Amino acid sequence: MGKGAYQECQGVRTMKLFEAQKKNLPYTVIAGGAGFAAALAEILEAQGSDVLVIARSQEAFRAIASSCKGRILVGDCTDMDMLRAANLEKAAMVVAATDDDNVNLLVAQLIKEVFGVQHIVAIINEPERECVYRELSVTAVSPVLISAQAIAGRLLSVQKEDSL
Amino acid sequence: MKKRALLIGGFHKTHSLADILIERGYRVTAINASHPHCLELAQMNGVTVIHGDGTKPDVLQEADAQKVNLAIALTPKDADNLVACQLCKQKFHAQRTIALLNDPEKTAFLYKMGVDSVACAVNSITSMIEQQEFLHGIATLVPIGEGRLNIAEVPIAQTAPITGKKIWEIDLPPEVIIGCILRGDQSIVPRGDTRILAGDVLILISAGKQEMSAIQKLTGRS
Repeated sequence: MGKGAYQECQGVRTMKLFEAQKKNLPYTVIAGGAGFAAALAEILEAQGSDVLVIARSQEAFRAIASSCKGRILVGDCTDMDMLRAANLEKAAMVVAATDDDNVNLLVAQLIKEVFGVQHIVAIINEPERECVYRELSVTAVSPVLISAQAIAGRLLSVQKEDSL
Repeated sequence: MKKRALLIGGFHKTHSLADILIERGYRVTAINASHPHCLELAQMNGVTVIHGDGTKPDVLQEADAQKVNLAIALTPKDADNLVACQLCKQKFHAQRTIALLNDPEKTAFLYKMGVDSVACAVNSITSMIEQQEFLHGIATLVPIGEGRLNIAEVPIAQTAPITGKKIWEIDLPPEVIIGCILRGDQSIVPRGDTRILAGDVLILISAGKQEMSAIQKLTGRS
């Protein structure tokens, strides 16, 4: 990552953050730039959040999140320097949403223990790893379980309609 | 009952560690995500090999991770090693966990997260190089008893702070003694009132990792 791009990014962030605070918008940091992170960034932004995404590649993220106007910090979201640059202490919430469960687990714990962020959500693709979190007050959300439950719920309501 | 060790990920490191652990009487199980690596590890005598991702609870279950004496995570990814160790500790109650770590900045964090031992190659190599640089041209160090005891050969220059002093005047840690003084072709068994001269070579015996601070004190170099 070029140092120039990074500084520029930081400058933009500071400016935007000021704006956000003026409008009292919640600042949210999303670690990860894959599909789930992109969808979340777009929804949060539409809700009026000030969103910062930490992604490995700016082009790749822009390609899947074309409507997202949020800022991007380009680099590895497990890197301490990268996390320091993200102004985590100002964040209302941090979401660890890479497509690698173990990276999400590491990032969530790192952010909680080292940076003292209170509200952290980690995306867990394989819910069986949830026990690692049990001791920590980190919320784990499993898109797989939620989709499965939504479909099962739909099935129930379809059956009800049919039996009427 | 034989002690049990679980090696998660890694190939070359796992291979060498398995050898050492078997020699020390451990029953070794290796978990590896690569099938070709599994086949090669399975050639080793006395190693049980499980093919799979060692950061998944069901794979650890299959590898009989319950209450292993030692779990060592050797994958190339820090996140995988942390999660593997946490699972072994929290879910399977491993007695002791060791994680390999690439990023030295996360050393304290991993300890805080409950990993018993963090092996960071960068940290170890750095301290080895520091020790080498420090000792280069100053002293020769011979480790004895797996490094618990060190015998060092320390030449004393004119400028050393202890030159001209008597042994009892030198404030050394209790774990360190001057065993012998080589002066020209003489070897002197030192007594409290023996005076150190420039050009002497001290034979230092030290325990408890005190050799570096003792050598610093004797030569005045840091």
